[in-house]
Amino acid sequence: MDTSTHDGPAEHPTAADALAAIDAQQQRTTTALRPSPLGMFLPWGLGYLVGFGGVWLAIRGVLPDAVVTVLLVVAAIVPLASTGITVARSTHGLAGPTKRIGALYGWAWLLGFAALFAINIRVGFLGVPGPTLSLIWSGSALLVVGLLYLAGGALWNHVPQYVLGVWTLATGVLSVFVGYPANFAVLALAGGGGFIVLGLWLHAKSRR
Amino acid sequence: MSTDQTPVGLDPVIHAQARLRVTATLAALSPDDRLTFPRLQQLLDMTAGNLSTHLRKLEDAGYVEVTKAHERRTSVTYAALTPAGRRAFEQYRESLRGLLG
Repeated sequence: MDTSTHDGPAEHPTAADALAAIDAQQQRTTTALRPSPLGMFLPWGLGYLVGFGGVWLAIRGVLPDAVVTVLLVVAAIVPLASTGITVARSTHGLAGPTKRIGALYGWAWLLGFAALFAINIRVGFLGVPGPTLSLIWSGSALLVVGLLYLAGGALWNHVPQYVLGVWTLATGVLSVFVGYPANFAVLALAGGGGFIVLGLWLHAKSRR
Repeated sequence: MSTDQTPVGLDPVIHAQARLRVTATLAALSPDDRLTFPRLQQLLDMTAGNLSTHLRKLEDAGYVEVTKAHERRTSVTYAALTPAGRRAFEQYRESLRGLLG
């Protein structure tokens, strides 16, 4: 492939070596600055599986309520922490528009969920029957999540994330249509499964 | 080859193993993004002294802009490619491809 000779000192590489060094270095840089899909998606998948799966099992009387409460807290905190750490580590030392886009997007999650909690808790106080309220939470929460992944996919031109958004919207709709308490099984298996498959697939792809 | 080690048409500022790696790293960022000195050092596996030297050469050529910002009472040094640096890097890469045919 390389027909030129190494006639210069080491710091003056051949054209082929220079191109290879550029490609390797740029590959390394983009990989390092991009949050790892394992840290971003897998913990959420496991969180959905364990948290919503736990609620489903509790409703069926398989798990005691106290255990499920603990599971739910862990299933929310661990993925949140993992996402924060993954983003902080990958974008550490980076400044400029990319960092700002990420920060604004992160705030969109926080604001979206703050509004969601305010609305649904208020609706709950108005005396909606428990099973109906459960479906309101399922559908509305996954609507917010799905739309934010659509936005993320659009922002970063990242089709897999966009597909996750579509999958999440479909999961939310399905969960409402199957009704209570099967909505929790849908959230656990389809919701959690989507994150897990995407995380593992993106991870395998990045290692190839 | 003549006494000059840089082949004709290749930008001598970029065409050195260390500087082409520094330039390639900064060119991998989105336009207007910048990177702190320690993170750049980590991505390049270069010593601070070595990186400083090469950054200064790139800065002198107008390819890199080094800025200092004060964040939480500490001084943070950022490096970014200038538009001229980005153009020079793209041209350099085109020249390399041209040399390989």
